[in-house]
Amino acid sequence: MTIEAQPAYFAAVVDTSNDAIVSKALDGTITSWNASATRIFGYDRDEIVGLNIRTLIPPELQREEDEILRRLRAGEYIEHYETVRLTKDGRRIDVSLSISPITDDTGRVIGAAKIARDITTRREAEEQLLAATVKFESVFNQSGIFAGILDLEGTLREINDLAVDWCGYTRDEVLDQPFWATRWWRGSEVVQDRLREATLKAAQGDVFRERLRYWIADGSERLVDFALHPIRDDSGAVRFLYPTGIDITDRVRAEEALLALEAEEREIALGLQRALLPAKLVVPEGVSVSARYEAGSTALEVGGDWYDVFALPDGRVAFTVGDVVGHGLAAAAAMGQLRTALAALAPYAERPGDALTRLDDFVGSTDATDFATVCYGALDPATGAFEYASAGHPPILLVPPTGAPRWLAGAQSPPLWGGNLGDRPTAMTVLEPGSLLVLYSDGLIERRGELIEDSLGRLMAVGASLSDLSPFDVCQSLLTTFGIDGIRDDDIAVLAVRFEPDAKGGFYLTFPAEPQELSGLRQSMRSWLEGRDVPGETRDAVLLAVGEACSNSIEHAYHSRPPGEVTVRIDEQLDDFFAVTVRDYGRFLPVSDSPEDRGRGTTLMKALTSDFARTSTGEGTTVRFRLPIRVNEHA
Amino acid sequence: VTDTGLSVELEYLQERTLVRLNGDIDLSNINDLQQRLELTADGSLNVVLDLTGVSYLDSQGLRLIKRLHERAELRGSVFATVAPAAPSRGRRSNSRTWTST
Repeated sequence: MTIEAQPAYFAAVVDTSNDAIVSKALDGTITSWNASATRIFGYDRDEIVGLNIRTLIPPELQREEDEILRRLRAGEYIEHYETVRLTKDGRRIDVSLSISPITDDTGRVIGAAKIARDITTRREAEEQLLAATVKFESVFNQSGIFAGILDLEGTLREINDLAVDWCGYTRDEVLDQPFWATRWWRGSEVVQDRLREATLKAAQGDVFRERLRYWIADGSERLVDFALHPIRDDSGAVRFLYPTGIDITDRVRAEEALLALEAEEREIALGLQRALLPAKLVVPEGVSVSARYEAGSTALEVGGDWYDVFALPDGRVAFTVGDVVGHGLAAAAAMGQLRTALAALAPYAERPGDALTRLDDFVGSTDATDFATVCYGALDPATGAFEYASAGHPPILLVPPTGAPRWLAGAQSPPLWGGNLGDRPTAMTVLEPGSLLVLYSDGLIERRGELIEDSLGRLMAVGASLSDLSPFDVCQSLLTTFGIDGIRDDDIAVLAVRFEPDAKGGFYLTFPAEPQELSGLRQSMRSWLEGRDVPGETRDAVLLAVGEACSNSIEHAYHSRPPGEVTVRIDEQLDDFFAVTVRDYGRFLPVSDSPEDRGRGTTLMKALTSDFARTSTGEGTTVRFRLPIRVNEHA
Repeated sequence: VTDTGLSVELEYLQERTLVRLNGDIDLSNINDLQQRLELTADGSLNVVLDLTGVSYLDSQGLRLIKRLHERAELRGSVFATVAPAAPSRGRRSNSRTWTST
């Protein structure tokens, strides 16, 4: 195998080496010759390759070659053998030879690679090194840094007082050794390997800088911010290497202690956060929910966000998502207070906006926090009526079963700050069956330096893709899309709500409050009832009682054109009753008919049903009743 | 026949008019029906309203029947309804019920 047979990069290294690198066969025939060989010996590659190596050997030293060949055949290396050689123009030059045997695949020696260094060149380098050493003398011994000088082989030639005295070593213990093998690095072979590599690279001109472990005389381990710079002569060639280091052990330990403290606080805050969030979300039939909380990725980004789901006394289910300003333990504690306060206040507030008004009073009367945003919605699972209000919180995303997603952007009021702003508004919409609501904290969508419109736009853009997912998968998908993409500043709360009133086979219909819709309603109810084992008289009672309730809504709820909607929901209950809810979203006003007529419809309904109840608020009228499915068993 | 599928057939017999209704009576057609029946009643001595073919009749319909009774009473004429016994709870009968004033 010859040098030429080596890969191209090897050839490139050979060509750019400062040393003459020559290979020869065992009979002494020269087989390769690099650029430095031409520079040192004067022969061009073309004229010397094929000649015998003895051409370069002075007549009186020819016997050396016999000895060299003998040792090579025995597989021995010859290192730093100083001798004299002839140049093309007949000059004798001092060289240092290193000769290695070249073997073939079977290990048989087939030639030799010879590296010849002009010792004159090295001497010049050593002189320069000496000069440079003097130049660095002041830096060496008058500063707080460790400093030394390496030759290009990586041997430590000089070291400053600090590097030995402070570490408890003596100059003799470390000088004239390969730098990576000195006692500072004795505790780690990995560090030694890194330094050997760094020395090689620095000799080629690369700067190395890394935080390294090192060891002092008493055996203790410390940290050094270490650098290795190549130092060049006027021609730009690297002449020696300049290692420096600053002990950073105390600084790093202080930093680590601080980080550990922060991590500990984060753990506590996260634990508190989890403890303060609901463990289980209980929802009525026809509603499914899923929620997720993710802490921020940086140390203290935990604590301020919450989600909650709870039942209201009137059968509705309430959803809240909020965000207390700040992070860490204080924010987590404030979050817990606000979440609990809202759940406690909600049953006594007629509408979500009123609940937020009261919550703001609570914020003003405590010192839990002085700034929070919150979004609160209440869903009637019987009818899909959804009331909501927002105090400075980003809008709820509504994804209907068909059609484009949209924001529920009504009923916005300023964030909570205890400012007693007066009544906060409430907005209302009716959800189609299959609708999805997404409540979230701004950590889900906000990115530093981005306009809120752009953030919301990204959420809207994925909205349509969520329409067929379960609430659990919606949360998962949103966190994957937005939440887990590297460093997050903020924590995230996401709550997904699916309204699916017919999931259990119940009857559900929303229709415009117009008289001509009634026959369609009856037709729908008849075909739904046909699918069940229901006696004819129960069927008629259902049709009649529901029809009466709907007629009332059509006649009395809406007073402008076009009218609003009426929702009918019927569920079969375990105890063999139909539970019926009829809801409109208008304002009950008796029209010109005598009260007696309305009374008759109600009398009829009461006669046919049990547990009859009617409630009218500013947001509409709800009629609920139950009907026994089997008359004989319940009569 | 109205758009909700209620048909009204009139049969003029001696001394009385037979009105036969088929279909559902609800808020959507009650006003039309009321006008029609009042017109018919006004032009007839006695009216018999046959509800056998009525598949749905709510309080609006009851109100109308009551009202027709009251008008007939005022005029001294007869208003009668004929219907199969409603399959409502608690009361059952196989006979037809005649109501007259």
